[in-house]
Amino acid sequence: MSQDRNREERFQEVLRSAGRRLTAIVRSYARGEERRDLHQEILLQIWRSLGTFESRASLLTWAYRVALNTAITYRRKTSTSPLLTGSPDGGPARGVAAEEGHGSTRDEILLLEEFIEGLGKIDRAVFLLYLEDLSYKEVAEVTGLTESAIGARINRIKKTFTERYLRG
Amino acid sequence: MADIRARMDELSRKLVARDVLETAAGLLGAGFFAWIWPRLDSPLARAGAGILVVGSLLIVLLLHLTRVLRSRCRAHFALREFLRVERRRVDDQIRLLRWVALWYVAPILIGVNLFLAGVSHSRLLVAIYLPLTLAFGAWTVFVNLRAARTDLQPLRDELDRCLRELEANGAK
Repeated sequence: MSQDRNREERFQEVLRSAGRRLTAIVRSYARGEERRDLHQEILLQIWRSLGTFESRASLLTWAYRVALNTAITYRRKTSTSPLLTGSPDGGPARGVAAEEGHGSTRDEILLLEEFIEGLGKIDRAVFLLYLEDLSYKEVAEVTGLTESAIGARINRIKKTFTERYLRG
Repeated sequence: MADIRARMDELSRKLVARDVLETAAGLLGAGFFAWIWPRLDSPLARAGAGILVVGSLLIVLLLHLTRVLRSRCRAHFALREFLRVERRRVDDQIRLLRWVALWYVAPILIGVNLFLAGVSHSRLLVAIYLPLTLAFGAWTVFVNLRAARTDLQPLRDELDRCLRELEANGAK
């Protein structure tokens, strides 16, 4: 009974501290109707996996692991076509933040979303974690890569972004 | 929260029901043929019953092993480890489907036909039953090979692609 309560408290903590960030992962790995399903699937997996959580680890890093693993698996299950840079109606992908943004901020967010969606699945995961202000060490813990590999990868992604959008 | 709980409960119920049903069917079959074995006079029927007992137990064992491995929760692994374990799991499933003729179809097919040939007094019945079971076996093999090719192999390829992309810049 107390185990159940413990699990429930941890789950609430994940929702409080990482809820918005999980939404960002969902937006990057699914589109349209799939987003709601993926979000539910991630929450399900977090709930299911909480039994294996060890308090030595950071709950947030742990939740990212579950979310990314689920997102990658989910895409495998539901679609073999690559995630497009546009939404089904032909326009650019729209996220919650993009819908809420105004003017140039909105354009920048759309641009960033478009760039992220064009990345490979692994680069996308690494870059998302970087954008969420995780340290190289934390990103390394989530992905299983070395910190130096994370640094090199993020630099390469930033360079690509600069070349594509800022040097136009 | 309540929604997630409800979905988890439903999923658990379904898995348990499926496990119980498959295990019960396998054990019931094995139990019946083990019980009847010493009562059979025909060596053919005895051979068939023996194969069905061993075959049924083998099927139950293999399905359980696969299911236990499959149900272990890995979602919290680091991405690299997760991809490796998932790829291995899919490889195991592909292997299981590709060899379905050996561990599933063959024991049932051979066992049932030997048993029938041993206990039946009608050669016509045996002659009709044999092609029917052969057709069933061929269909089972076809369906499983197709699932391995169209469902599992693309998953395996994509996992492999992700793993290569991940390891391209050096992993721990």
